[in-house]
Amino acid sequence: MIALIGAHARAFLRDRPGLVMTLALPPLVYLLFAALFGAGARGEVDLRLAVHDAARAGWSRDVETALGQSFGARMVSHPDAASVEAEVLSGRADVGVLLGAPGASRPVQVLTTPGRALAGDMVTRALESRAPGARPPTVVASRTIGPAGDLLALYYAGAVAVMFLFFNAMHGAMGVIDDRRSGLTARLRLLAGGTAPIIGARLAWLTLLGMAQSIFVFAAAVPAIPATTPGLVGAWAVTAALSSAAAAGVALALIALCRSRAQAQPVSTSLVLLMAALGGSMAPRFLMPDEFRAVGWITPHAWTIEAYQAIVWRGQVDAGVLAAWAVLAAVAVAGGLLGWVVEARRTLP
Amino acid sequence: MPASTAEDGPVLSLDRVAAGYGRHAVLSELSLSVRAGQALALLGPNGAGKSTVARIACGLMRPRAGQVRVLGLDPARDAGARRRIGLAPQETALLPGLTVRETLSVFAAAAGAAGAERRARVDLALDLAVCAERADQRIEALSGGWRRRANLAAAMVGAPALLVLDEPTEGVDAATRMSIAQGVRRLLDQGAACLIISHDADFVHLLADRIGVLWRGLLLAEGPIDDLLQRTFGAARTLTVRFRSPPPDDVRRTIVQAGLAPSDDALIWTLTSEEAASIHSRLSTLLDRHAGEVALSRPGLDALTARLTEAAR
Repeated sequence: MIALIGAHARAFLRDRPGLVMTLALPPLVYLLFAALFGAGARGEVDLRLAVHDAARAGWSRDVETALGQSFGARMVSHPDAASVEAEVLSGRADVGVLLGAPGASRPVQVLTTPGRALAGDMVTRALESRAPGARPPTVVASRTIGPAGDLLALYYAGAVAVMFLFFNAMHGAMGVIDDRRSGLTARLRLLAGGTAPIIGARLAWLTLLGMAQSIFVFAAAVPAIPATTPGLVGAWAVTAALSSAAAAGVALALIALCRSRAQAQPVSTSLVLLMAALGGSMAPRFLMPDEFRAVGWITPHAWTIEAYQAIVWRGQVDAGVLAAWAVLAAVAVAGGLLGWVVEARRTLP
Repeated sequence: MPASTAEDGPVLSLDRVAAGYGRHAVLSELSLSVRAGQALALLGPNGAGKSTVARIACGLMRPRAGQVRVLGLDPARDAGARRRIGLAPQETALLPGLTVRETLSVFAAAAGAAGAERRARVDLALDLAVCAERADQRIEALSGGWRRRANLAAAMVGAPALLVLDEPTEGVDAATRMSIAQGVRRLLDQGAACLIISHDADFVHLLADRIGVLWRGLLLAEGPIDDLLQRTFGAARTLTVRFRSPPPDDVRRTIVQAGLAPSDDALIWTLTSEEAASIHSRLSTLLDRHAGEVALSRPGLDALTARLTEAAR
């Protein structure tokens, strides 16, 4: 089995473009996700504002000045309310703000289209918190807790890492189908006396490759990691290994059940995307409705992300982390066994 | 190469084996055996069941009935028996990204060889398959012929007592065919046995001691090549006429009346008969004028397969 793992490793290391894509792409995607979604969830999205000051009072000038300081060139003042509405309806502005609109029940009106309700909430929050002293005088007090570091950037390190584990595990497991068709599986079944070393070697190789990918992603996230967590490298490595093994197990089980690439590719791509969406690799789990957050626990993604959050952010190896390790290990073992049994019973072409 | 075999009895034996896929029966009541030092080639049209015999012999498929033994053990159940089988699949089942030597080394390790023994097995397999000169070249850089040799070396690296070759010469030139046959013969001389699945009559002639003709899962005939040819054709000869373009109607009528049968493209016409020589003489003037090539020869394996399967229909 070690010789087979070595064969996988040598073939991988000699495929330079493949190596670069496998190890460099996940950190790049992580940096993009962290920049895009991390900033959005922190309320620092680059919203475009259209503003009209109908009140022309001291408080309204204060508010407009405050918004201008916050949004800079992305805030444009308009001479009347109609042009603000037109900007919002056309999509050129995400949000419109009318100060002292005639006949309005409140002194400040925030205009959004239904698809941008979240943007409206964010501007409302900005109005409340960034115009102290101005009317309306509602100011929301806020306080930051927890260790220093970028929680969302760390969230996406785990989220992107586990998503790519599954993409690459599926791709790597697809080799089982090629080996079946080429006769390599038949040859190895004879030489090795059975299927277990073949599936075992692929599981082990995909786990090692997944760990390497996780290292690269978290290396890109180092600036966001709090200073308190370096002592937990061992716990991080266990999580990386178990999540990689779980991805490999699921991939091998799925691919073993498929007769051809034509079957495996759409099924695996759909499953990877579905698990990534439900498990929190795309949108953060804390932004999900409760029902989806609960459903997310059926995916290894959710367990992996939560384990990384506990270890890397909170600096803890608590019961939640142990439970995540147990679940990931169980998925890896169950997937590997299912893959082995199905593959061993398959009549080769 | 330590290709030890059972002292008594065949290396491979199939006894009244039946097999199939789902409701489709492929083999019925098939019995055959191969002894140490022998090569048995299975011939027959597509769908005759040849590849199924190879799968069953390797323990990769269980028969529905009957008994399969390799060195006296059931290869479907006994991993030790499977390890004594070297398979060269129809596709070149190698490890892209690795060199030939590295690929063989991985296969030898998978078979349980380590250290010096592994290196010795790799060197011997390279030698037997005559591909030592490309040992350090990567698989994907090899031509089709060299891949075939590497595929054969991979089948030999596990020190097999039984070699199963599935179309081992597909797409190779005459020199490679000869060198593959010589390599296998050297392994047979060391005590291994060989089961060949092939449509390559020249290769079978070079290597096989015996042939079996399969048709719809039945073994129609089995024995030494010359015996079968003699038994089937006696003094008959095969007249082969090749045209550069389909013959004109009057020529066509004449050769049809003489009993020659055309190929699909009507460019090659053949007749196997005891009267072939006299027909050749009778039509010589006509054929000399219109045909590109005319040959009178002893019937070959293709004719044997065709004759036996026609008779079985």
